[in-house]
Amino acid sequence: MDIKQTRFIATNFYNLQGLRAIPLGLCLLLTTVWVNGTKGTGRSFLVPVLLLAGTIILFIVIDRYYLHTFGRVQRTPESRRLEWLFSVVGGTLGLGAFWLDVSYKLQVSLIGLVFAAGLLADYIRITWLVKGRYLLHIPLGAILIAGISVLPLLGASDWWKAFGLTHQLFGITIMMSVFTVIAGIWGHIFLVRTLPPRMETNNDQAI
Amino acid sequence: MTKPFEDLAGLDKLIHEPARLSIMTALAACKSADYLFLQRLTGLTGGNLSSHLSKLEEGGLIKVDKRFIDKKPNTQVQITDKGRIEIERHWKQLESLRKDSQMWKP
Repeated sequence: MDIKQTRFIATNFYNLQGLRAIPLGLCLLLTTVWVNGTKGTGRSFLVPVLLLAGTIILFIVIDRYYLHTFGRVQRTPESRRLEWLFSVVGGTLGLGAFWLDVSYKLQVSLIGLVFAAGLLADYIRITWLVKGRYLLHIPLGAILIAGISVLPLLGASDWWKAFGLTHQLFGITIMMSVFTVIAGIWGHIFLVRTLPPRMETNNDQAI
Repeated sequence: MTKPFEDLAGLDKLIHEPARLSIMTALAACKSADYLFLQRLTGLTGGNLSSHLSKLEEGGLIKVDKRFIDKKPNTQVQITDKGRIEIERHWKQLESLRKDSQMWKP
């Protein structure tokens, strides 16, 4: 294993546990499909409750899997602080963008643009402490989501209706959740490939 | 003997061994890591990893903390301040050696 990769894995071990993102992505996807397919008065809120419960259970199972298969790494306080800062700023901007998207009929999706900016910022955060070209699908996903977010501005107004969706927000949310699931699988494959369950064949000289 | 060879001979052999160098580099990039992670990272057998960790601990470069989590034994390994200084110095030495070797003429 090369040394850059060793540093990268140790620094970003938690971020590379991609399967964690899958229940969140699926929950967002199914909730969006459910909201899009039902009307205000006829909605049974049992569905989102069950989805949330399923997400939590799946998240715990995945957490145990990573712990028992790959072990435990505690991040440096510097890395934790950076993640906390990004979460707070990203969450605040996301809520603001969501409010503007549902309150006004805009030519762009602000939530999509904030998500894309968040992905780029996350990519910089992950690769900030350790230099090296890893997880390039994150900036590529950011460009894709940003592009979709400005489609109405580029002339493709009501593009979401072609997919049977009633609002731009649903279209963007589905794109975001699909990307989250794909990025999760990608991250997991990267982790499995870089930390295979290998065993030395002959290391007598090493000791 | 010329300078590059003197520098090579002066490398700290406790850190320079590939498995220990990998362990130290990983530990310098995080607060602590457990035994299972280090085993996956280095590909060493349990016995060999223990042996390397013991050597590093004897040298005061790491701190090994054995405890129970959910009634299961867990070994947590942390780099010491001395270890952090030594691994940084070692990488600087290797980098300087690499540069010097490019200019070296027999």
